[in-house]
Amino acid sequence: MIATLTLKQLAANKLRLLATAFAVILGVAFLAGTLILTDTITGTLNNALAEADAGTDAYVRGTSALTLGYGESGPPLDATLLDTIRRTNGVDQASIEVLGYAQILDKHSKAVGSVNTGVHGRNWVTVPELNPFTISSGRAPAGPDEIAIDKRSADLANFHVGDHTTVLSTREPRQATIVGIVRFGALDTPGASSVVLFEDATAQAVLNEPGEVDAISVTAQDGVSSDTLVERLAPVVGASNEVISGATLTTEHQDQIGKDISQFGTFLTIFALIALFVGAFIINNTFSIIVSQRTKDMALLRAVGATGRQVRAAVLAEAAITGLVASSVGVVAGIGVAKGIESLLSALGADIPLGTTVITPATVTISVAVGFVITVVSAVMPARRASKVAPIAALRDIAHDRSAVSTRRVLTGTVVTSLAVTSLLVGLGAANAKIVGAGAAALFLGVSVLGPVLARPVGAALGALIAKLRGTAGMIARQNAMRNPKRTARTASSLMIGVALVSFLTIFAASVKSSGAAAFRDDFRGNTIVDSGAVDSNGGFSPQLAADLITQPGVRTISEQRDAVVETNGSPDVLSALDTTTIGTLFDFGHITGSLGQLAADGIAVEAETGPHPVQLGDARTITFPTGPVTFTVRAIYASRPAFVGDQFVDLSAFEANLPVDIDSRIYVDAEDLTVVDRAAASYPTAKVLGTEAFIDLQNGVIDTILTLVYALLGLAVLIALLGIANTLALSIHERKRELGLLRAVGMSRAQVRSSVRWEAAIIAVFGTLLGLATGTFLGWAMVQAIADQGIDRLVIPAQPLVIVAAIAALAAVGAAVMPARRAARIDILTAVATG
Amino acid sequence: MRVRRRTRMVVDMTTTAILSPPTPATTIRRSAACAVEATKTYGARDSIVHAIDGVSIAFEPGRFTAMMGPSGSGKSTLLHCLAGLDTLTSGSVRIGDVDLADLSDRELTLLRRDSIGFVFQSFNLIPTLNALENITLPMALARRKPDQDWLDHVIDTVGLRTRLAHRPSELSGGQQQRVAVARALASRPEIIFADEPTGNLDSSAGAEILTFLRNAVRELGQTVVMVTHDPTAAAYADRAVFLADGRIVDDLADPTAINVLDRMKNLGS
Repeated sequence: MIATLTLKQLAANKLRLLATAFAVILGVAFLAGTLILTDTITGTLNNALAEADAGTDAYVRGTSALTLGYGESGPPLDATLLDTIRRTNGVDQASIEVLGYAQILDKHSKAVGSVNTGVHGRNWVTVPELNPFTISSGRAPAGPDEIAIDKRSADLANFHVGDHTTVLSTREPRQATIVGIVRFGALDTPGASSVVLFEDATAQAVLNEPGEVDAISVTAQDGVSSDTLVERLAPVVGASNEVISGATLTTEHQDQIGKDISQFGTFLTIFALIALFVGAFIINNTFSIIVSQRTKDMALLRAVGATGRQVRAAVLAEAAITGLVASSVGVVAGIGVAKGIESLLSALGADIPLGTTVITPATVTISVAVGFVITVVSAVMPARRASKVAPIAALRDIAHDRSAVSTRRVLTGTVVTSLAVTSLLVGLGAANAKIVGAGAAALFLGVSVLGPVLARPVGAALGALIAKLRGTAGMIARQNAMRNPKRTARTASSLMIGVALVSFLTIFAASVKSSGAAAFRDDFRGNTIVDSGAVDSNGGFSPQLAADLITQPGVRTISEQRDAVVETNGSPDVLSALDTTTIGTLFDFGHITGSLGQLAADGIAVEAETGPHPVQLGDARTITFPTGPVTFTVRAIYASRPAFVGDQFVDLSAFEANLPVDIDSRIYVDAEDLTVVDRAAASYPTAKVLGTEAFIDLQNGVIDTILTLVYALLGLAVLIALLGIANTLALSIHERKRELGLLRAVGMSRAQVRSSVRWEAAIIAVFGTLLGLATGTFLGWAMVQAIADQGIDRLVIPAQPLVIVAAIAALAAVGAAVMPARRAARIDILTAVATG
Repeated sequence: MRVRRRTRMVVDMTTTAILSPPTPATTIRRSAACAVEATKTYGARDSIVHAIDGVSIAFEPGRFTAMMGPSGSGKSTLLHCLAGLDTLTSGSVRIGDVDLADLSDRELTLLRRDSIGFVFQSFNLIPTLNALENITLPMALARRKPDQDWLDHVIDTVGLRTRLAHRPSELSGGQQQRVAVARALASRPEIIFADEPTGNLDSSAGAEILTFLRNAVRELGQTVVMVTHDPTAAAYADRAVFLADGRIVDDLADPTAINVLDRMKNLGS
């Protein structure tokens, strides 16, 4: 019986539940889309990698001392090992592998590819079984002036076989002819990287030291298994090297890709969860409104004998069916979302070749389960309220959900908010993202619990302004926004979340930018920076540039910077090496104990520490390079860390001693004139020559780019919130049919009705926006406090962007009110005034 | 006033001619509202229902008219059409000199706001506005300042002085209805339409409201048209018009409860 009732109610409320369903669909679609996209990328790359390594039976390489699980290359192998391996019993063929940094220039002398998506140089493996690449057009590179490039880069730069180009590497730029265009299995290129292939000898000369190779790949003779081959090779490769099977190599490669993709997936999933969190508010609101509108029906049910439990079950069943249907639709829509994100990424230059769309049972299960659970959980409170409707309510005239603000609400809200704030501050202090996230979610809940307390006074204040401005329509908008503070607050809360996150990020980013800029202006004593844009040790430009630069007249001082991924105390870290003979004159380090210039290859400079056991000159610091742990002696302690210099650094000579390849990420310069530096860097297009301010702008630009992406992703949460506003208004208008009819009867024009609905939306939106701005500002403040010791010491609350955010949110809400307003204006007067 | 006025002398004359048979005694100068051959049908073809069927009637200014009839006689539909809340299938309705058929939705709204007052059976007030705001609502919608002397007079007449700051939910049914009457009077409309104004009230509160309406007519010169099925209520009016099956079947000057009851009985049989 209750089941029949549920179905009938659903049928009767299709339209009212549509917005709820939409909120679930959007959130679930984004979640499913993320899962589908990551699965598809992983699947495509896994297949390509398996195919690429298919012919390799054994793989010999230097053992890396790093245990980061990123397939860090170990120290290089001696090229003569190739002959030893070839002579080993069971080996059919073997080939060297040389890997490094190389990048070509397009026809406008711009670098092709970016260090952030991968720029690789490799040798062309002449053994077909061991070569992951296949010729698409042209032929393999044969001489020192010949290269092959991947098809994606060729297409991007419009290169064809026979074209000439310049190749950048860690050596001097060199001219080359493109003789071949290659593909990586079924893909145009591995991932989104760009690849330059050389013949063996050239590869060694350009990418590595002559006589050194990065790995040797081996095929087994017929009848010899991969495992047997590994066993036989193990004794001959030498103690510092290791040999693994082709299958292990594939797994390693796939794991690395898997890690990258899953980080990317986690990033996107956070936004899907935010969207669903906002959706939960809308679901809760919709069910609350529906329940209050159906009070009479429920009371009648109770009067004729339904138990409270049955009424509750009916509401929950309605939520369950809505959740299930919407989540299922969401999963299907997820396929489209996956395609959408892919196009977005490709528009940002990170296009990833995709094979068949992968929809795993896990994707479907997780997405549907998440959508379903969120819908049902959000409906629990309204369902409880429904079950408490007294049978006598059926006989009373419609009771308005007056619900004065209860002391319990104030208490609960205050407790939740305080707990949230505590958890946030603790989480930030401990740099624990999970605690911070839970704290933020709890903060939103706490503020939304307190929302109704604020809704009446804030609504009254805002409304008074509008009433003054818009006359009666404004006054009615004000009264309507205030008449049900819970509803107004719930609707506003969903908008609050998006606005809070946007304003938090705006404040945080502005603080980071401003602090960084101020610190750099204060600390930098030079006037020019040559920057590669490289993060970590992915790429950069040849040290040859620095060598060229120092010989230029007008260049007074330079200091190169190189970065490498290392391990300190077992965790990954990026270590910088600087030219320590000059860095002290280019940056202000405050008081220095010891001497920066005396570091040599085994010394390290560290930032002064506070605490019971501060670091002292002569202390030992162990840093693990791929070749193994190296112990450095503290030879300099600096009082204050300049911007862009970490809490420790070593001299360039330390990198030269411990890393196979030298590549500069940045050069700090003091020169008479920027043009002098410009001229020297002209033949290194990956090196950008920037003045101090331009450098600051560039750094800030990177932050802005990330910010834009995050704003776009948060747009989903805001969109769902707007949907919620539209839905709440539509439901409210449905409820106020008679009232609107009466207003029309006594002479309110349709335009005035529309205007009053729009202004009501504006009041709700501005209320939500104000809550959001306040919460976001608090989050921004807390964040800046937490990382003040990392040089982010300025809290900047940029008025203009925040005002724009608020204005956009309010305007969008008014836009969302267009349809409900129109519907309100069309209400038939007679439905209001016709006597029973 | 921004309402377009189209004078059609012809219509005036026709109205006079048509209206002469049932009420030969009435001399018509200018009607506050009138309907000519007004027909309203629902449904189509086989299942067609005539809610009102060719009704022609005029309401003289400064008089209190009661429209009576059993349920389904079309009295409420006629009232709604006269008040511009509903549209006719054929025929015409005029308020003062204005033919409602000529008006756009906006013009109709302005006409209701400025020239017509309403009192309904229930749900007469906006729950979020207090009594005073409800009374001045039509003028506020017009962004017009109420005539303070007149407003005070109306408020005192209906005896609401002490209740002005109260919301409808804080007022009794009778008080709520008095607020509605005050709202109808406050903007000095050309005509007030009341649809079963005492339907939800007890007899003493009902008598109060009817007295107000009658006083508004007698003392303030207001024109009132009231739909009711209560003979006692009709007795307050200057004229009682009887409808049955969508047609006017009788018209009685200076009705009393007794003779109205008689007519009603005849209609019922």
